[in-house]
Amino acid sequence: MLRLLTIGSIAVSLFPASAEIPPLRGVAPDLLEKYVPDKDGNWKCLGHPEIVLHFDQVNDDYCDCPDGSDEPGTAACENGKFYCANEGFEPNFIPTFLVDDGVCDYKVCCDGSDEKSGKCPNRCLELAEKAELLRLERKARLENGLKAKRDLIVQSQNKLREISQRRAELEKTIQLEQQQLNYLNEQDPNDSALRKEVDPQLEKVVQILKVQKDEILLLKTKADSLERLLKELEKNYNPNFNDAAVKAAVQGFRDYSSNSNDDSYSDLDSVEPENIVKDIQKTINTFAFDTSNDSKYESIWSFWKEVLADKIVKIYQEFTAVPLKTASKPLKPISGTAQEIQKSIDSHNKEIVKIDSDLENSESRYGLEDIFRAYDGRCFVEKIGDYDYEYCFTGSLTQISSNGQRVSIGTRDKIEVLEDEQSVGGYSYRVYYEKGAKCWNGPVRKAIAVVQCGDVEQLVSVSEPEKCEYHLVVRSPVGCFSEDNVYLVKEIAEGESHAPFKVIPFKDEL
Amino acid sequence: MLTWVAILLFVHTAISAKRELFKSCAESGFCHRNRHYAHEVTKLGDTFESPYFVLSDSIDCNQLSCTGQIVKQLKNTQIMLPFEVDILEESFRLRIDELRSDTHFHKLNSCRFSAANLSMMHGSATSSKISSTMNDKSLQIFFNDSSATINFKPFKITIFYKGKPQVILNDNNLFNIEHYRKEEENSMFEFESDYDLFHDSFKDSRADSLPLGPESIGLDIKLLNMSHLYGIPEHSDRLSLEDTSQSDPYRLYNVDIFEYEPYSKLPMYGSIPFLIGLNPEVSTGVFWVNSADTWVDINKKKDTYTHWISENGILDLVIIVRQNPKEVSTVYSSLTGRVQLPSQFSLGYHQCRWNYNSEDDVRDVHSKMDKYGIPYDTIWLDIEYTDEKKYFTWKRELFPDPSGLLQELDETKRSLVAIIDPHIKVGYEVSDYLESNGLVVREKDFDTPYHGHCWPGESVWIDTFNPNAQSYWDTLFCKGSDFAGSSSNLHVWNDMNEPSVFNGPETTFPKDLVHFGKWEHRSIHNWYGKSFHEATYYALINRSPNHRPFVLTRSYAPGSQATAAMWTGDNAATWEYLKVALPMILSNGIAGMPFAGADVGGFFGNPSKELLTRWYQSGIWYPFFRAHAHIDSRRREPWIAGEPYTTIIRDTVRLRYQLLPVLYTAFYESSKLGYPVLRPLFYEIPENQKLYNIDDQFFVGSSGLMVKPVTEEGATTDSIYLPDPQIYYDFFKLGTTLQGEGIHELEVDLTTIPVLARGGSIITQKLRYRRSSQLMKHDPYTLMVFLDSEGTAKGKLYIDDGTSFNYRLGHFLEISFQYSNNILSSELKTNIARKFQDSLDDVLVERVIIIGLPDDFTSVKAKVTQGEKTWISNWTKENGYLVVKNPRVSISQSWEINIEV
Repeated sequence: MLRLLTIGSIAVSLFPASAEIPPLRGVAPDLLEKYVPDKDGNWKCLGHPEIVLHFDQVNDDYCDCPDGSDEPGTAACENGKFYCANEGFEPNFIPTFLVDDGVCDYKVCCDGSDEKSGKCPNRCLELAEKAELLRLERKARLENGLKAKRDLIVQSQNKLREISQRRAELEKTIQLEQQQLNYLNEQDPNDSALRKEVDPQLEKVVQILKVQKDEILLLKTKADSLERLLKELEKNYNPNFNDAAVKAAVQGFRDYSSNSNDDSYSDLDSVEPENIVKDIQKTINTFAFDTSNDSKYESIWSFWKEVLADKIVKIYQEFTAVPLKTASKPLKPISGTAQEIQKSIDSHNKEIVKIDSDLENSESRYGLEDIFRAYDGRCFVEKIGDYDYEYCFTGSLTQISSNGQRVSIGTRDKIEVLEDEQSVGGYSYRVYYEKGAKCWNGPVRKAIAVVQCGDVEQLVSVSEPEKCEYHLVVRSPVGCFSEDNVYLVKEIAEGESHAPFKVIPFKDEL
Repeated sequence: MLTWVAILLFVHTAISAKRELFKSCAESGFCHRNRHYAHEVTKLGDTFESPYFVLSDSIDCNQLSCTGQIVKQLKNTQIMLPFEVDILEESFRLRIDELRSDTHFHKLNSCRFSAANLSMMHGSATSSKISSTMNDKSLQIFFNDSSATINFKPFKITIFYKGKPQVILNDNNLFNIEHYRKEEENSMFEFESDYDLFHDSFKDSRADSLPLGPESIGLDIKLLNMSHLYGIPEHSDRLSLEDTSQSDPYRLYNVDIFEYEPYSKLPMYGSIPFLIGLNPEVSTGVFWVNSADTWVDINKKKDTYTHWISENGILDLVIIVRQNPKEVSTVYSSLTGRVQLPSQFSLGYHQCRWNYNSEDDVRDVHSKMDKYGIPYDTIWLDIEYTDEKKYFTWKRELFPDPSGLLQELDETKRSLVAIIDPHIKVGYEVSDYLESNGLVVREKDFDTPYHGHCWPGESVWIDTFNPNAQSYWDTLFCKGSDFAGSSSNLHVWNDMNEPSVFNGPETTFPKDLVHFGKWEHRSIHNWYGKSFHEATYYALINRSPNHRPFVLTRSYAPGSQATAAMWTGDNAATWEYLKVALPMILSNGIAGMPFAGADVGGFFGNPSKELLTRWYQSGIWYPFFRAHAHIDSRRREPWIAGEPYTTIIRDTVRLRYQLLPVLYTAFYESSKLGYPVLRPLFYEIPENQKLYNIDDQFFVGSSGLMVKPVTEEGATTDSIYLPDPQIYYDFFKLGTTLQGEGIHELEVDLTTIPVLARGGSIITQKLRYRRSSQLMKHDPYTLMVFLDSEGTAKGKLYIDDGTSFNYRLGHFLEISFQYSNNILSSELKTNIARKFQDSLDDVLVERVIIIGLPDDFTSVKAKVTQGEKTWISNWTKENGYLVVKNPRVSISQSWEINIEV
């Protein structure tokens, strides 16, 4: 704010002898030679030789040089740098606003020279010891972490191997199915007795479904009127009179409406059980077959059982809006009609494509050397503050309140590795969780988990610096990095003859 | 679609108070009736005959007071209203009570409540002797250079100052005391309304049992030749009070006004029934000493009529007539107390948010302040630090080691302020103790503890009117307690002390609750917040007797200034709230409550980066300077905005710290004389009527610094009003001047804070950046000498240790600087405690800047003298000013610098 120029000063300074600052306080040893008066007792600012001062003006607690070089040992210059020798530890330059403010800033100036003599005893030795202990502790953590990390690498490489095995199996299966398909295409199917058997059963299904549908629609009406009531409450409640129960109810409803899909039941009206049954009958008609040959009937009927089961599952899903997880199907070549076999081939091909894309750019989702694959399907739960947090490194992050209510904070989006002084080894992972449950009147929840070095998985802290944006610090062996090599697989492979696995260039093999 | 979205957003962010929660005058029984009374009396004009008159036989005067009876003549009977007139601090005081003979007051105290009795009057207020003369029509009382004439019938009092009538009480015959009666015996005059006499028909207060029926008091006070009045906070309104004949009256009733609106006369968190009226010759203070629900109507003509209406209590009134507002402030503050000299740290920057969530969160903000070079003194914890909102507990999962945290903050002399509210969650040791020891506010049955809802859910409220509450409150704060540990840098924020009750009528207590002393809550409502923050203050004194406590309160009353700072509550992040904050703070200053601030950034919502920056530029001048934010708003600590905003905010906060010597000196003056710290222009120059409506510009104490913060979005120009013909200097662009009374246009950019220094001022600063105010203790001073047209200037500096009460023992320096005949001299006014003086020997003056010297010299000699020694100092000359470099004089002794041109 004040720009004080220093030219035009011709008066001689004759200060009272109250200055007690040693003339070369705060000067680094290699700069000492520059702090020498010329034969007239003058001295020039280091960065501004055009400014000539009397040598008395060095460390006279008044800032004359724009670069602060005349006041290395006082707080006079805003941009000054003070040298702490820190004998017994590492020397350091500190900003001069730390000088003579009454605070022993041991963290940066352990010899206490930033304050007038006597105020701050030298603590460098003590700090050096502490630093050494800390170094050892960190070293141990790193070593143990790296050991544990090797196990994780083994696991992740095993997972990769499983994946590639699966891929190979898929290819083999497709081959077999192709043969089956070729065989079937030569058959001549014919329709008959099956329908008589199936039709009454389907009639029964229609009746049951009708009842179910009516019941669902009734429930929907009830839910609608409850929602209406709550909407009314949410809109018109008095925030001044908000007793805790009302407030909790309103908040709960807001969360509920932020996350509920309004149209979840809307398809139901158009779904008629009769139509579904008609579909099934049509399919049966299309795939008519001959029942005269018993053995053939057997094999084809077993196929049709699966077709019907599939249809029923779909109907169930449509009516309940609950997706049934399709269990990973055992890989045996399917027997069935040509169309079904073709379908199976298609789905197996799809799975291959999925595997391939999963393996492609996998570093951005599984970290270096796919290490996070070791955590696939594994989650950890720990309590911080009021909540339990369930964190799955390659899956979702969930906040669980004491009453068991689960709120999704997000799903793993990407993973990256960054330099991080806080983490032993100098690096840490960032796992980004995106698209969690929506906050009322706010964005969807998301989180960043910083994964630092630790010998076991541990949630260190959770904070919410912004509403609905979380920041987690987690420890895990994956966050440990040896100083010179962040890649372990190769190191393990080369360094240990009894390597538990051979490094497979799996992508090439596929 | 876009428009639709925009509208939705607007609807959502628009802030508005729930007006329907609060009574209008028409819905408030006693306000309704008194306004009706005023209306009928005015309509009747000369034909109206007041039922009130003074019984001349009853007058009895002695050297200190006159007493007598006012009669209220009913159809069949007379009500006796004893009155007393005396002189306090050379000002006229009138008290009128009622003889209530009925003994069926249930269990309630049968007296009308006297707010003054509850220590409203400062112990040091002195009475003066009077002389009097009387005839059968009137009584005349003489005191100092004033007198008062009490007319018996009609009852009317005229107060004269320097021989001229200045104030007339009951000139309009609105004097009205609703006497005690039973509902079945009630009879009315035809000009009276019986609206809600014995019942309350307002929707949320229908349960009010009104056990004593109508009790209100009303009086009109006419201020002659005055059309500008200021005061009666708290309202979010213009500084100059407005005519209310077309609106509701200003209401004084402490309430938690959720999402208050700017520019409104609705009641707010605090109430000070004191105003100052102004004309160029005379300033008049009206102090209506009452702690009940109160309304003030204002009718401006050539004279201004004010109509004061309170729900109950005795009528107690002090009229202070003086030459100027400063003299009025001094009298008012000797009645109610003056601001405690603040602890130095509390004038620094306060960083607050609802909430800093954990110790780590606090540490993170703490270290980032230093990383970005932003000085700060205090970090705050809102309600979430507690275990389930149980005050005096810590949520240990997030705050495992508060003592360690406090110690860490103390390393750089930072403090922590934690919130403690008066609602105490039921079912833990504090509420259990309070309930079982009879220290809670009770239901009207005098027995059942009142349970209401606030942050923790079901709660009880401590009855701080009960003297036994203090000793228990002391134990909760004492050294070694769970809450405070052994720290001395933990201070306290008292919020929600109106009190705020989520399920109460008008968001507060039902009026028929009872307090210690058998008083209804109705009688003491506006005092509850004060009694609570005072209890906290004394508990902190008990913890560290020689440590000045810091207490922030939201609710306040006359006298609160002696123990607490206040802020304007829950504002919002819009330009309107930035603007209205200034008149609100100025209004509190006028009403004797100078330690005031508004949440920088706005509590609700998210400020734009520009608004946030402008708010800091305004906020550094608030006597209490705190940034705060709602839990749903985004983080907005200064580094979040990014460049250029962060640097501008950093430099702005640093400017506050550089000027701390000015601010501290202004507080010293306020603590001695009762003046505001921030002063409207008319307060300093009351002779100039053109200044009477200016409320966006102010002087800082007596320093001569005049500021007009920019409060317009996207401003590229601004105007500033020069209040007198003096030279004004740009405080930053030295050498730039403005002169001539009237409006001056300025060009501004985002970095501009319009600050001018009045010619003739000497501003003392400490320019070096340190992390907190207490670390600046031994830093040298820079003096800026702004010469007036005669080439002279003067200034003041007050110094003490900034933390203890040792200044009461003389451990302080009061320094006068004077510049004339090219000699700058420093003179120590007070020189009592040698030890303290010696402790400042190493505090020097590093720079003197003289602005406004004639420009025709090429060489000077700066001769410095201190004690026996004389030496020559370096200097440089700039365009328009001279810098004396490093004169190395100690601040602790007198000295002289002679500029020999």
